[in-house]
Amino acid sequence: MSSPEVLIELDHVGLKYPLKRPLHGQRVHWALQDVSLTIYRGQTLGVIGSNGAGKSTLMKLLAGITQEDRGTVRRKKDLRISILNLGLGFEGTLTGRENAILSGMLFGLHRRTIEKRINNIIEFSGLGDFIDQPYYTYSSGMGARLGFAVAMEIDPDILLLDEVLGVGDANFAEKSSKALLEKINSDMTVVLISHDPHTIRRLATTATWIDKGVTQCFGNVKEVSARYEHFTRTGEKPVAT
Amino acid sequence: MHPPSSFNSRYLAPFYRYFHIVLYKTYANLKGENEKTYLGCVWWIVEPLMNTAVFYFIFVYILKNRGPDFVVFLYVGMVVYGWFSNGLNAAANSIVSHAALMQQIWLPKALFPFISVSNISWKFCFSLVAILPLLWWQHAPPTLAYFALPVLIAIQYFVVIALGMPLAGIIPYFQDGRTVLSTLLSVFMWLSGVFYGREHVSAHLQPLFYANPAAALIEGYRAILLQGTWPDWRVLFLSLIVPACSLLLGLFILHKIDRQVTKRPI
Repeated sequence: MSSPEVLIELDHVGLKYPLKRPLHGQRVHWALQDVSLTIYRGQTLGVIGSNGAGKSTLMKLLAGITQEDRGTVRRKKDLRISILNLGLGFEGTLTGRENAILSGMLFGLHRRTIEKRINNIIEFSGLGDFIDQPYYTYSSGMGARLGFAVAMEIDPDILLLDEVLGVGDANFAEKSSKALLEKINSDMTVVLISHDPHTIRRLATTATWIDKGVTQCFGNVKEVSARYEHFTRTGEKPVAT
Repeated sequence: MHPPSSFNSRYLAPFYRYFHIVLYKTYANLKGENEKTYLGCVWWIVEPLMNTAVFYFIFVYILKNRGPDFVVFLYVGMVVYGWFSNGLNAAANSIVSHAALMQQIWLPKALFPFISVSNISWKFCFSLVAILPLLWWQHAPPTLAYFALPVLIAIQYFVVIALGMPLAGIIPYFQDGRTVLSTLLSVFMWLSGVFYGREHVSAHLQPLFYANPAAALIEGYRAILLQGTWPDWRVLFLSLIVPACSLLLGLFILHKIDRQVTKRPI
């Protein structure tokens, strides 16, 4: 069996943020200190860690929004990598339809592609004729439904998920989490961030645990989540493997 | 059917996508402004008219040194300089004003000056073109030289973006620069020939005067609209030297800060 294609590889990566005021005598904060991981095509990588572990920083780095300050990031060329943002670039005065098209283009789709998928979006969102009303007249639930419907049509090469599983009311929450689960379980490459080991165990095919910007372990989902749970109970870190 | 070439997928398709993003964002901004105000796009003409009225009053009634034609002369200068200065301010702030979007998705940073300037450019084109019938009726009918008008508008659009590009990259790191820039731009209004023509600039200062693209552009529009003659292409061409250098510098800076500027709290 040939090994799956590597899409992104992080090798001892660190990333720092400048600080306005010095902290511990330093004007920078290393949000990621030493992170190594590999993302293969088709897998679902679960990233687990407590608050402040650097999970969101890692997302922005993977999405190409920020850049590493040390270590190396190897990325396959021309990948479309998107964080699942509900309502990316939505403007109050545009209608739901116009916002869906603008948002889809910001996500990286060609205008014609998103226009072809607009009917799917309208149908999934369940907004009906409201789609041609200006966005500022929408309730927050309607906005979330439209945002989610757009996000389901973007089909990036790598989908980055930051604990968004279900949105809207009970009905739509079920529909949306079902749609998302289908994406995760399909051959789409997904990176899923969570501080809940159950979510990771249920959905991920590989996992990594990050604490204070340092990779603690990488690999088998059960093993990684067990170690993380052990850590949250006892505060003991495993011996580096 | 040909398979899409890599040139097509790597350069043309993104370009086409960015072009439509700029179109959509411009449309959204204009729609937003029109919906929030009662007079909407009427303001785009009323505002420069009000400014013109104030300066007309000062120059014609208080200083008593200008003839009756001065009002059209002044209006053209005000509109063109208004586009120049508002556009440059918007371009300089374009990265800062899209900070939230940049935290959600990667977009080439050079896109943001285009988004911010397009909105303003549309408004000023509107206020320039809307006044044309009045101009024909009161002043002079259109001539062949009007064919140069779209060229001038296109030049100005790119000049504003080119000059704003490096500023867009610097302002996130030096936000005090916004105040410096708007002060400089009000000073430059007096140096750009909004209130006077080339004949008031002594010959040895003229190269310096025209190194300022705003002055060269205002001169060009007046040639077409007031005298019905072709603009001085040589002067226009030379005034593009500074913007061209600025564009290269800007692309370099924006490339450098592309994935770094998002780490700063803005």
